[in-house]
Amino acid sequence: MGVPKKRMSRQKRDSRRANWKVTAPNVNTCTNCTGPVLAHRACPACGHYKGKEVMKGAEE
Amino acid sequence: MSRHMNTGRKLSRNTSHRKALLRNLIRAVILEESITTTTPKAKETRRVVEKIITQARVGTLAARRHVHRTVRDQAALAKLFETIAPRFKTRPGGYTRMIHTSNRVGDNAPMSILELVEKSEKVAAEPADDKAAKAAAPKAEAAPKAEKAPKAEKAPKAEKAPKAPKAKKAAEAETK
Ligand SMILES: [Zn+2]
Repeated sequence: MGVPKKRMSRQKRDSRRANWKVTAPNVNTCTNCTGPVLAHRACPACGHYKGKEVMKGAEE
Repeated sequence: MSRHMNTGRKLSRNTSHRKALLRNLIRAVILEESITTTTPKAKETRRVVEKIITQARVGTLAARRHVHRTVRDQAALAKLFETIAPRFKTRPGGYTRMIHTSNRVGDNAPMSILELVEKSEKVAAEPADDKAAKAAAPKAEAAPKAEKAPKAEKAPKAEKAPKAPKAKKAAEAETK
């Protein structure tokens, strides 16, 4: 099995990790309450999807 | 090994556990008409429920015995053949609908609502809900919701937000 021969320097480790970035989710607007909502998902705030109330939202 | 010809999910369970889980989910779909579960479980349940309803539409004793192999609950079996099957008499498949919802808090599991496309009037009256929320305030919900539903459509959006907390407070006062 491959085993590291040398300890990796802090710079080498950290410069690799410097490229780890988070990307923001692509958020749409709810047609009912104008709140943020993910695509193809019922709105967590008002529970609407495709113009119909499909579940209880958080605010009710 | 290649997974050619292998269908379905294992759902991290052994065979008996998985079978029992699916039977429970199927029974829940038939009796509740709308369930909230993880997306993979919903998709697996959907596979079976669709086939079962198609069998139920046949309506013969043989079909009933065939379905009974999966649906062991007598109440669910009766409901399936006597009320659900006639409802879908003319629909060529696609008896269920999945609506994706927000990921579960805790393990971030993707969640979905699995529901019958045509629901009984009683079930259709109220939107799908968490069991916990329903149990917590069954009385409080009944009163304000009836008047809120038509209002939500008419009233402008800006007005709706401040109203909701007020209705909640009134409901709470009622229960006390
Ligand atoms: Zn919304």
